[in-house]
Amino acid sequence: MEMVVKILQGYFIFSIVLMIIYAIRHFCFSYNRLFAKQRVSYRDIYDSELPMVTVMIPMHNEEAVIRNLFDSLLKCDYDREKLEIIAINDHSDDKTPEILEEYHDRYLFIRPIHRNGDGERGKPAGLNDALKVARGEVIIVFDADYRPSKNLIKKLALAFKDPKVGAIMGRVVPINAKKNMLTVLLNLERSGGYQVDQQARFNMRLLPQYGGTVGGFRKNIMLATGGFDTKILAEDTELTYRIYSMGWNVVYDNSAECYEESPETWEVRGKQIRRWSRGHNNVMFRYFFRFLFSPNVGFAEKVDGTLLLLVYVVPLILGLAQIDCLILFFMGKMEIFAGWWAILFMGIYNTWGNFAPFYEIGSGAFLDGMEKEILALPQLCFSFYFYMWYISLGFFDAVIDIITRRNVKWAKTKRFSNEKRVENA
Amino acid sequence: MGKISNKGEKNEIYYSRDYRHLNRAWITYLLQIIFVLVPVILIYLCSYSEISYYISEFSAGLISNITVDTTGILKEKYFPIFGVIYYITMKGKYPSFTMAMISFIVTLILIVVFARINMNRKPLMIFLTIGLCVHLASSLFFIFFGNKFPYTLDTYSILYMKQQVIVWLMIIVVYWLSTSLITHVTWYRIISLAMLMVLSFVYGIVRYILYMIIISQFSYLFMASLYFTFGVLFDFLIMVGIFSLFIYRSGKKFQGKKRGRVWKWS
Amino acid sequence: MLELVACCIVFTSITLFPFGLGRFLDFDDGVETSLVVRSDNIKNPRYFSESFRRLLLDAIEVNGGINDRLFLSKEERILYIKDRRQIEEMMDKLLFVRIPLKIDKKAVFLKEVYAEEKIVFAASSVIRAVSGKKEVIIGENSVVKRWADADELLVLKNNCHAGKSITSGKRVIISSGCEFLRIYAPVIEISDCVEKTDDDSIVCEDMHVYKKIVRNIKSVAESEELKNTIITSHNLQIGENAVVYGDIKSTGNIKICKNAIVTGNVFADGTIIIEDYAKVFENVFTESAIYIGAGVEIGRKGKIKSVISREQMYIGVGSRVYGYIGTERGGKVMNKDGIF
Repeated sequence: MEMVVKILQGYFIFSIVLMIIYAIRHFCFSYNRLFAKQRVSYRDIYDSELPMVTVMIPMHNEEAVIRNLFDSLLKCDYDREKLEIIAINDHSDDKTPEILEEYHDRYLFIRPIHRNGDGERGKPAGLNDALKVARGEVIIVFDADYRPSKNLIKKLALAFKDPKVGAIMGRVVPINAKKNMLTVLLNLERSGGYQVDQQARFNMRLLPQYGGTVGGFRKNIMLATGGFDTKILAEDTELTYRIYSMGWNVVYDNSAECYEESPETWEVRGKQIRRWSRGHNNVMFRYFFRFLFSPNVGFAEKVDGTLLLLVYVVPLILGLAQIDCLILFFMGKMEIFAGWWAILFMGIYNTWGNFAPFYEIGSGAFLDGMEKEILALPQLCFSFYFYMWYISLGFFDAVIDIITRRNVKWAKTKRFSNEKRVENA
Repeated sequence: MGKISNKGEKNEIYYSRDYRHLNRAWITYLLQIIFVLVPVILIYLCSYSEISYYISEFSAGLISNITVDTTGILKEKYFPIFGVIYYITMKGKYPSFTMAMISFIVTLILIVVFARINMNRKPLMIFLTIGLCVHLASSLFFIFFGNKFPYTLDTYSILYMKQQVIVWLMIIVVYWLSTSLITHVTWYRIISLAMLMVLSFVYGIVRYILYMIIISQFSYLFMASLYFTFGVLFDFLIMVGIFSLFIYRSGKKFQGKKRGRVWKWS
Repeated sequence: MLELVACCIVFTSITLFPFGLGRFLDFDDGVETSLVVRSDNIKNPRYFSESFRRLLLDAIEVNGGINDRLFLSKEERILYIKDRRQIEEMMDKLLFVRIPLKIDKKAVFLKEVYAEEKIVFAASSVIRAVSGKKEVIIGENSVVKRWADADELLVLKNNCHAGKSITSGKRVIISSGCEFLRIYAPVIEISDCVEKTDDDSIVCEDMHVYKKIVRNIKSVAESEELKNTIITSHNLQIGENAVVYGDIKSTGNIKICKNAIVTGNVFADGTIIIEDYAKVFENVFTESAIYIGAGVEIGRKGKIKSVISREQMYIGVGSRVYGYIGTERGGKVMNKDGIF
């Protein structure tokens, strides 16, 4: 029994130490973003010789939004001779195929790929098919509901003039930020995550993450390593770690902004988070040691990369810490830990307040000029439990994936937009 | 060449949000930690003994007026150098088997109901469900282990007081460090910190009174959920609320500032 | 009982207070997004001049001709210059110049100048901004407060301050002692000889950029030829007369010695030093400072390439850049002996 108590107390202390590490990490990020010299990406470069770019757009039943995306892409200022657009129609059963053919008839550089057979479904499989036929040396991926600005492709492509850049990530901005309280909270999270977290990691030469959309990567890296892994839901996280392990890096461009749509209901958000957690933890299981012992990664990158890999495990660790506390409580061992419980909770709330602690979100909102939205910050307190629940479920999904080696079944995040909103953007 | 008149100069163009940042203030930042934060922490640590005494005295008096139970004040050692901590002593009571059983059944029903209702309030429902699970665990404990509950109301009282001392200390530290990210203007932060501490103290006292009454009147069954679910979270919620107000005010003040004075580019 | 009720009210109020803050948000103001993403933004190095010209010429067209007042972004007083004797020491009106103009006394131009023919400013002038359709010559020791642009040739003589940006559709000549932030032109000459020169740039026979990577080397020996792209975490030195047929990236400093050639891009986190008569045929970019000696060539004729430093930049006379020079902390043209 004494041993049990010691283990429980040890786990309690371990959780506190872990929370303090994350708290310090995020505080450093916030401080760096607010006060340090910012590392600007390569957007200031003027170059008349741009790389050949392939824009890939995976889509499934996107008839409501793809016209707007194509119309935006047609307005972009990238040399048409150096641009091709591959629209990947993945088993759509609405008017998506017809619309793609219509645009292909008018613009030859828009090339649809129709995937209707019995082959693997989903984004990675679709991207792999497109990679085989893509002519571009740089691949840029957009979601079907995006509305890229005129110079977005150029901003992203210029980064690849740097021979060490393996991928680039831009910033997504929720277009429906003020739809309801959930979207307000997601907007705040995004602000903390991109404006502060990603930019600080780029400043400090750590591990900015490739996010799978509003971003690009070198085609030869993917082809040399067998393309995307269709068994992983978080192909973007997997690409990030693959790139760093091979000696390349990821660039984050805070000015390369694009609208996206946030989930508008908690149900959809929960499914999304669970999927992200499952995918991310799959990557964690595959890359934890590979990344840690990679000769191509520096020490600081290894530390940050490891903490990033564990991000979707931490809520489970915290949940278990709370259960641990409860057991200690009923065993009568809580007395000496009365204050420590407060520290743990403080750590939980500060460090793992929903992907970014409250001071990081506050800093992001401040930098973005979102004074009024910041008043919704306290509403995040309960969503911490929400995330803890769904992320833990995602973790268990990932464990089952590893044990049973089951195939992942792809699901698209439910869309809420209508053409009118997207037109008004 | 002489000074050029500013006649006809266009209005300032403000820095875009992409790469703007604040003027570096790390020396001021460090000096404030040394000359403001550290002294405040030391003053607090030296006075938590008196603070706990007055809180206990006030709360004990109020509880005595509300209930007919006898209350007293005890003390216990806490931080070695800084003195004892005072707390209320009161008689608690154990729940009966029937009460524990009823509590168990009702809690179980509520857990099932909460899991199914109101998807738009999902986070709140999950939070309440977790709270109910804690209460369920407590009910189970009292069903199977009855009088082996390791705490008395006095133990809860000292647990609470010790927790609050740490919470208030952490609030001072975390709030000061968090607000220093936005501005090093001291008086602005001191005022908001003072507001926060007043709110937090009042809340701490009121909660202390209410929770002691609940446990003394309704049994130890509620101790676990009051301690875990409805405890520290709300202290930090208040801190985040004041912090968000602080950002709101600072944001309004700084957004219109000309570059060079507040904002720097890249 | 009253105390209990009071306690409950206080407790509930403080508990609900943080949640109440979010209720100030207005979801019905008709605006769905809180951050505006500009979708029609295009980067144009000559934006200031083109935007100014568009405003001015549109205002003239709307007005049916030039008046002494026109509405651009606000009402401006205009002076139509027909004779150089109209130029006084302090000019507080926007100038519209249709004749070739040589200003032979120093003056302060508080408003923009638009010139449809060649315009020459005297030494020690102070110019807010100038947009020229032909040639713009700015005398020594002058200050450009904001920007200067010319469709054909823009010349800044010795010790001028170039303001925020100086641009040209064809060529910029900038002389020793000048300070700058951004320069754009298909040909940028760093020269004390302000007459147009022939473009005598040497074209390298093999300008191929090899993409096969060699990692973590510290130097390329003198006169060595390397057909690789270099990615290194060390300081890197490219020896005299060496040729690297590839890109270079270092997280440290890079030094390209005399007469060396790099056919690809040069990127560094640290300082970049390009010694006399070296050549880089693509972009040069660093988070730190750049020192460029005399007779250096960056870019290739007919292409636009960039030299960008996030700190200072020093560039020697006799050098040439095809495209864009940008520096955040300020750049300076050094005379022949000034750099190395």
